[in-house]
Amino acid sequence: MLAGEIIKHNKTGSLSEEQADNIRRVILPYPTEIWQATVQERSNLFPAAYNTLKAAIIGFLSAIGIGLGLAILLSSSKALKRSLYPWILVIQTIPIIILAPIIAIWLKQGAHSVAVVSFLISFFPIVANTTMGLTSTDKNLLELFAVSKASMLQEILFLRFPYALPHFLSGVKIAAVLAPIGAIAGDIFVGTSAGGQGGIGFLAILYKGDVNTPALYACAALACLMGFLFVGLVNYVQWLLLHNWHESSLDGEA
Amino acid sequence: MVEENAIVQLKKLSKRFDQDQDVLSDIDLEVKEGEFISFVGPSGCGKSTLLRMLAGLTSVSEGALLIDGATPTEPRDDLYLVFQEANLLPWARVRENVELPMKLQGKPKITRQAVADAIVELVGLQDAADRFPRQLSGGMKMRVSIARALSVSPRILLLDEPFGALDAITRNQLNEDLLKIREKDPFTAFFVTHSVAEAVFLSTRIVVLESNPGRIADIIDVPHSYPRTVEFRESPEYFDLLARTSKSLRQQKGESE
Amino acid sequence: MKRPYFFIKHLFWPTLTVIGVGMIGGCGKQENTQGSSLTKIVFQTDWYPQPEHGGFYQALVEGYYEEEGLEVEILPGGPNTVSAEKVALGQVQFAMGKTNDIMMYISRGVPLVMVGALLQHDPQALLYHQENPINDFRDLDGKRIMVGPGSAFIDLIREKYQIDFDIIPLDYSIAQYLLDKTFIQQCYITSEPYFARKQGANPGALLIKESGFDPYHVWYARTDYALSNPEIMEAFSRASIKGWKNYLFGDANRANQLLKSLNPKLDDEFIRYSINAMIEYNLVTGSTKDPEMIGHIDPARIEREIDQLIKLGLLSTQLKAENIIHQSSLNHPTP
Repeated sequence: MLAGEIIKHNKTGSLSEEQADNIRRVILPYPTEIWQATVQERSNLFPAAYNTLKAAIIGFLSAIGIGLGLAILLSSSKALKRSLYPWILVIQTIPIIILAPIIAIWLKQGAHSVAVVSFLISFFPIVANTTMGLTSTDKNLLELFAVSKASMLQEILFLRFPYALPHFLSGVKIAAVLAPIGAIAGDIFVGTSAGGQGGIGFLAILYKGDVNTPALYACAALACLMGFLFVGLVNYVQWLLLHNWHESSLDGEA
Repeated sequence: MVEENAIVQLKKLSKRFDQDQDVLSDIDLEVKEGEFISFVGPSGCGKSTLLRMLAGLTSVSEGALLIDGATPTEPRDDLYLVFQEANLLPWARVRENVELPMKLQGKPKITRQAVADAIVELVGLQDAADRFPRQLSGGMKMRVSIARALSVSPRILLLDEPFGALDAITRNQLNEDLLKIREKDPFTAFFVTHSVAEAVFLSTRIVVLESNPGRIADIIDVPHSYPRTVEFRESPEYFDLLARTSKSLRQQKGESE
Repeated sequence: MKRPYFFIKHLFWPTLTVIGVGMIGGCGKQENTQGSSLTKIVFQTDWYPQPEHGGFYQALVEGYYEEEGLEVEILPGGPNTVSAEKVALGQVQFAMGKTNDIMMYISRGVPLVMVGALLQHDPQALLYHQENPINDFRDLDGKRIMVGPGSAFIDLIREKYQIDFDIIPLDYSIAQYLLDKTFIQQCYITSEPYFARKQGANPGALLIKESGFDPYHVWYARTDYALSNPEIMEAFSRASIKGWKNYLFGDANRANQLLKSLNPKLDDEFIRYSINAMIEYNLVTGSTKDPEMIGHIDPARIEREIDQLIKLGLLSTQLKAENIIHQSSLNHPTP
């Protein structure tokens, strides 16, 4: 559509083909141009990607840990759920663009705050899904455990956890998509250049200022790659844990 | 095998949920060790509720439920329930499912494995021991469910329409196998079923219940001794009992309609 | 056999979706400006409506644009406005920006031309607390400052004063500044110091232009459009310049009423502060304080800026001032 619009203006206006192509490159570079920019800018891109990856991994792992903890807490008592859940929802519903300055004020800008944004953006799906999984355990299986005189701990360990596992993992998968996004958004809002801590988001602002659109797209491609990497990893773990028994992982088998 | 003292006594037992009408009313029954009691009756006669009360999953509203002469105050180790559905853990292999009650009782792994191996063989699943539930047929799943219940060697086994969802051939096979297992590993059985044939083939006594509220309408003795084989199923005695039970059941249905 | 199946399963639908969305997008918009004798102009600003745009709103409410045969729509910007791209695509006819940013686009081959200057001097400054004064750019050494990453002056100051400092991305708020007496951040001399003082701080500001980096803020257009429509360039500039003269030195009441209605953060006291700052620092008129100089772009100064940017490595192409400034601006008297 963009390229078409440029051609349209080229017809009616008096843009030369070269000018139109220059504009095209600034708006929508060819994949080859993006690849060239990636190679050219690799000494900036890869350290930045590494910083973002680090923040995303920290955010993601905290989201799993804290998300799981919160889910266990929430599913353990109705009263707790009623009093705690709205607050978790509050954190999730505040757009990061508004939350970011608050984080910057509390925690100061820096790599740690970037990880916090990544965490904040990604932990909710884990809490919601896991809580759902922990509280929707098959009633018949619960009775089986009751007849078997299972203790509370046994019930959680041997029944509720495995039963919630598919739910938990689908929450983790959403978090896997969100964590790198959070790390990049965090980079833009609460990041820092100190000690080469700038990430992809930081770099993207610089490329935007430089009107280096191919490099900007390279940032986007790296961000995508990171998301794919995270999701791929979660998919693999999911397959390992579920392929024997859960419908979601029974692929093409009779 | 039969002892004189009763293992389970139900005295004027009633059950109601909330303020509704009684689901069960004035149930009186004495069961001796080693008996096989079947409950038959129209839908809503409370036979499953009765089983759940015995299992301790639901409370007694009125009257008394005594096991070994005492009201059970906490869940008993020597009693186990086989559910309507196989109710297996989908993430656990057959062997692990069979081991589950022992695991929950904290028995050591070596004991668990030895017992599970024996029981898996007893129910004829030795070739499927490492499969997951989704890889099993309905009949096989139910065998696992029974094996699981037997793994703790219960004195009392409650079976809540365990074979209701199976086809007739599989059901007959499992009936015969259940009796064979019971020869080797005796237990007192309470068996809920919709099938009169099944009740006659398996039981020492058949308790016919009427509904609204659930009361004992009739008790039919099945004097034929164990072991029972296919020949019993083809004897005039069997057909006579079948006819008697069906008639009794039909009367209950007629009255309630 | 496995491969085509893989394509169908995993790539076919995504591909089809992309094509579909593209087609829907392509059928998008059609403009119709028939039925009015006025020429329709869309002007993209760089921020929310504020006194720094006052002259244009003055021209709008007082009907200066209409007198020139233009029907102008002012499109407010914000932190993520993409102006040059819109001009390049012909979505807007004019936009405003700093000369160094525009030259970056021009060096990338985007055909843009500067038409007139709204600010002769850059109002950007570094905001600090008087308790921790920044008297000189050298005082920034080893500090951490909040600025727009990629701002040209960062490299210039580092280079010129041989110092280094960490930067954190600008969040367009002074909240962190208010909490931290050692905090330093980018600001507009016409804006943040006022709010900082209001919040009880004792602010000081060091103008970036003192470092020798002082881009114009200009309105610009696409080259081919400007060249084929010189009369529109002239008309827009005449009306805008008249707007600025009257906004600063005439009755700005109606323009300010409009600004206030468009941006609820504005009040009379702040607007007065902003206008006074623009006058005090000669931002609109330039150092001669001559209202006749409003809108003027000096080619010699642009040449100096080009040299400066090239020396810093911020510009890769040797641009010529005469090629990137529109003729209508060069017609103005030189001081």
